[in-house]
Amino acid sequence: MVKRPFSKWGLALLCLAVLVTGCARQNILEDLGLVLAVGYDLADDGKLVLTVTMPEISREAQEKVQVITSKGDLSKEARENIAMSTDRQIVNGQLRTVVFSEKLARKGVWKTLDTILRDVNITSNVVVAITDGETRELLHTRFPDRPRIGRYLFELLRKEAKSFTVPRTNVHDFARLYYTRGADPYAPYVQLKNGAVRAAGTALFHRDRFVGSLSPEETKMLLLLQGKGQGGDIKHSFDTHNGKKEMVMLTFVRTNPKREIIVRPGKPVLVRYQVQVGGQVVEYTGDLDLTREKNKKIVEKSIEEGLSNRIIDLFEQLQHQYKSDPLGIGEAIRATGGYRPWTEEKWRDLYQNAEIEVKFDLRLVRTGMTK
Amino acid sequence: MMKLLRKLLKKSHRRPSTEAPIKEAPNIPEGQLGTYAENVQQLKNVFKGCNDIKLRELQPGTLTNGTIFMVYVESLSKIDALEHGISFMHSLVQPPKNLRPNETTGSMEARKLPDFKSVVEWVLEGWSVYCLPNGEVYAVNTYLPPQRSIERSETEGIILGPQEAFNESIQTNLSIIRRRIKSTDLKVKAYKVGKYSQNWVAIVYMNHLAQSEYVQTLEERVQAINIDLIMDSGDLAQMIDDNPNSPFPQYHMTERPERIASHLLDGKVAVFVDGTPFVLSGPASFIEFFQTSEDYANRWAAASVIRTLRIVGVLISISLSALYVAVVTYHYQMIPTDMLISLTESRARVPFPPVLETMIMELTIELLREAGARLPAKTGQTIGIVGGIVIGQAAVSAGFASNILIISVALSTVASFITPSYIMSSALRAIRFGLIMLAGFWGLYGLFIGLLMMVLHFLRLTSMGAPYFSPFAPLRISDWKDTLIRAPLPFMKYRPTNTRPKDTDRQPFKKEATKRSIPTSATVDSEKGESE
Repeated sequence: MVKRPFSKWGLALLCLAVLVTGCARQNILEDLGLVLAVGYDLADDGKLVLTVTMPEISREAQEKVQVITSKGDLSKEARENIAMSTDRQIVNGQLRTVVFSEKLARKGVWKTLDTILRDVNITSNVVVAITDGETRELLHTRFPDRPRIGRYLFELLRKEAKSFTVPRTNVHDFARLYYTRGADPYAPYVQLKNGAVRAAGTALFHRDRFVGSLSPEETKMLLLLQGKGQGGDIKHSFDTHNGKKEMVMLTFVRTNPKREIIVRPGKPVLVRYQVQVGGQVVEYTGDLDLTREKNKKIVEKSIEEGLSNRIIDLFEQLQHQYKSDPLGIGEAIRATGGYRPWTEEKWRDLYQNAEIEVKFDLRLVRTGMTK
Repeated sequence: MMKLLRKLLKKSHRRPSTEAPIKEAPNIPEGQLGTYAENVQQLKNVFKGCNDIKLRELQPGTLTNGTIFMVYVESLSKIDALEHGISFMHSLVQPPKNLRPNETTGSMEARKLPDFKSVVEWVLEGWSVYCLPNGEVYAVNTYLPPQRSIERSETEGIILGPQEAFNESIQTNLSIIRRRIKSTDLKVKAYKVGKYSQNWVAIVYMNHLAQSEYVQTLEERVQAINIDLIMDSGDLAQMIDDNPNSPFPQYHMTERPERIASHLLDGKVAVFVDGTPFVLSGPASFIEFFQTSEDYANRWAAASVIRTLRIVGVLISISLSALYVAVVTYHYQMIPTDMLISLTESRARVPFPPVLETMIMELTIELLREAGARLPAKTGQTIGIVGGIVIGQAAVSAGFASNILIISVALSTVASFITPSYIMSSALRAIRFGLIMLAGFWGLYGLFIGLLMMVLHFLRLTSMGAPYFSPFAPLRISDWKDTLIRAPLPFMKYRPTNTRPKDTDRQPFKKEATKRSIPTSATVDSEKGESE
């Protein structure tokens, strides 16, 4: 066999390497404006206001971040306008946080999120957040000790998601819930208060329209029902036998929620939650001796009651006030198979009228450790 | 392209020379031996101008009773051996009277030479040649050239295991192997290669293990070599390769005797070349270049970790710098944000595009390494300091290269040293530059095209006709016990299948019944018959 050192194809490839090189678009690092966070606002004239933050990397720079705001009918158009006012090549590949103002979100965010989902450069792990004020204001805020607002926002939401004051969702989750006929998306809610960014609970959606928000406390309940509450803290106050008000701080050591959908002919659907919770007392202001089984039972019962009430409150808000279904109860009803053909109207109707029953089974597994 | 190259080569060959080209090696004349006087005259003619070859006429009465003419290469002969040779010749001219029947006159290795060509050959071989008055010519083995002693291996150091290495003498090397394999199964076939150098090349194999096909292939290839000088087994290997244009070695080349011994017992064929400590063995597979004999001396768990580490080292050494180029030029999305910011900070001051930056740094490191290899050991220290401080510190602070690149270049250089085989390591070094260029052209896409082409090349490559990338492709799972991991020795019951050894059992089983070959009913019957 004759071995040819350079085959015809090899040569062709070599030529290509030299000739086609110009076609590849280079993104040389130091020439890039890396967008870490974007904010979308709605201008009074109905146009989209886009704010982007890019870290400034040169050591001589006074400001560590470059924030530019621009207007346009389309988000990409606004981006083009932004590109005109910076010397960097604006790229989306490091985008981590997308913030919508409440005003815009009430009109629907899907059209804007769609372009983010379709951009191959953007990871689907982008956090979508809603803020009560203007995102322009939020992103233009300077934190001298946190020079890169885009990064700061992302880290804040990620960290807070671990203590369940905001849900941990990304654009992928958002899209999945949006496309599910039987569940509504939800997202973290942030506030700019007294010059400080604060994680402020959950933003609820009806389809892609923002309808309202849950407080961090309510968010914990929401996430508890999703089985994600493990490690979260909760404060509970109750009246004791002698009429004094006592407070207890509880950490969930383990949570195990079970959901049961009971379809009853002629009557609204019954949704029964059975939540097993193992809790650890971290702070207690009362004077009951919690090491005694009897006293423990009293406290457990009281907390169970309190939690159940909170859940009932939560559902009251979700079902009737906001008409949003972040827990995907509609999806669970559909899965029982009794309501074919499944339509959105049917879902909304069934969900709104569904009867919710919550049963807590709380056990204080630890009542305090001494070192 | 090759046509063009060949044309150029041919042209340069046709450069007019002032003298007519000599077709044959000049100083081996044909011809029969004649009388004593004729022989002496012819010998004097042949060795004219070779002052290191002694031509001595021994007068009768001094050392011998007849006139004897002796020829030997002074520097290759031992003086007392010469004495013995002379007295032996003397006994041929005038046999001692007190010799009993069948008694020989000494233990010298001597042979009677048939023609003049062989006379010249044996003289050059280092034997002393004697012309007797009756016209007969004898050669006596008085060969003892100055040679290096058996030393530690400098190029393939190991910590555990035997430390001795081959040296430049083929006799010593064969003796080391013979000492390790005391078996008549170890066969040695010797050939002379090189028109002028006349190197001894020995093909060594285990008769009951090595496929005769491989032995035959090697014999044919070695005999077909037509060149004036063999410098080393390295250039011999390139003349008997399957694919001489591949950057990868197709014969294992080592100066460690225990490696060769174990290769021979895997059913491989070894090629010893006189004048070099490096011994070839084949058929070789890619993974073999990452094995050391230390792996077997070490405990299997530790050895397995080190094996895996070597493969990771290869990947790092060939692709880390290319990865840097690809990521910095095209794929900023791939890097975590925090790292990206610090990377950009260090890149911001560099005026060159990433490919150029990387090529400059890689070139610098290669220069340092090459300088370090050529310099005497004492000056080598300086290179280390210059390399460490000037390249590492100054290049970054001068804005010549980013510090992450320095890390990547240094890491890939260190990783390339982890490959035990120097010849493989230098092949991988060369590959790296190609991959960096491809990464600069096309980013990760180019890098992976390069790596894929490399793998494709491996798949196509053969060593003496055996697949080079075995046991990965073709897939031979049973051989994986000695690749990325080194299985415990009790697991290694069979020899590797890549060499297709005639006998596969490495460790005989205790019970006959568990043996791989199941006896036929006929043999069972006959055995029974005998026992009864």
